[in-house]
Amino acid sequence: MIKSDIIGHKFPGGSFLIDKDINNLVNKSTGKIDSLDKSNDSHQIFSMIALSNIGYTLQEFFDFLNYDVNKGPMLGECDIKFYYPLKLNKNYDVQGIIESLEFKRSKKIGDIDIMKFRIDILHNYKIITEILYTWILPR
Amino acid sequence: MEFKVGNKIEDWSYTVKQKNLVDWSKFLKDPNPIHLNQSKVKELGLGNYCINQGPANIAYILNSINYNFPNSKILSLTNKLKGNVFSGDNINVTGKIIDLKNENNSILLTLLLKLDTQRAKSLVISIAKISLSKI
Repeated sequence: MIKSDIIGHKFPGGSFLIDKDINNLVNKSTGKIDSLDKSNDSHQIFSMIALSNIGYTLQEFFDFLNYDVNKGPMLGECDIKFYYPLKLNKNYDVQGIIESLEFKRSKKIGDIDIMKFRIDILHNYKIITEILYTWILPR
Repeated sequence: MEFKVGNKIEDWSYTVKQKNLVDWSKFLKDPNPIHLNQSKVKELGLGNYCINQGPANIAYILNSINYNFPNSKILSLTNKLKGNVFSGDNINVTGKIIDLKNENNSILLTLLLKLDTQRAKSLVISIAKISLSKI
């Protein structure tokens, strides 16, 4: 059973840097052929990979929630706002907060909890990207 | 491509490999066994093959936008993940222009994009707002 007092919980936060090699690997793993343009922008999906830099590993995050990852949590929705591109070789900070937790009964997969949390990626205190995640957590 | 509401964009396709799922588990530091352990997926009743990471599915949508509009700026992307993409699936992203606004120096397009596989349609439904410079 997920802890009931998680709404408003702020993640410890973290930071990350995208180098050329990891950008190329991400491009390759998603079938993107042109690896890098002249602008030095990284693949926009690093906005979601930043989830691995919230200050918890996903395993620690699930442990914090008191949720067994073996139940198969799934991403349900995500809304991304891109204010500025994520550039190579720049340091970005990651912040996040859990916004809601709701119980639902799904015809397809049974009893589930729906958790929403927001992740902000910042550079020099300026928000670069904002993502609202909705995760489905089977009970 | 002519920018007109209702116009379709070019399809973007890719075949998902198990190695990609292994890489994505590392990118995301994601221990979820549904991406790596086929038996676990079967045990959970979620299918017969490892399940692709959700962010990878979103990356295909982004790739489709970048492929069709290489000089665009993506402003926002709203995604609903309606089903699973599995290791070995052939994905195909389709899309069309659903809104167009002319501004002083740019064109703002709203796109509706869908990710299909050989197994199912509309596994991801996305709305993207992009900006194209007129200069």
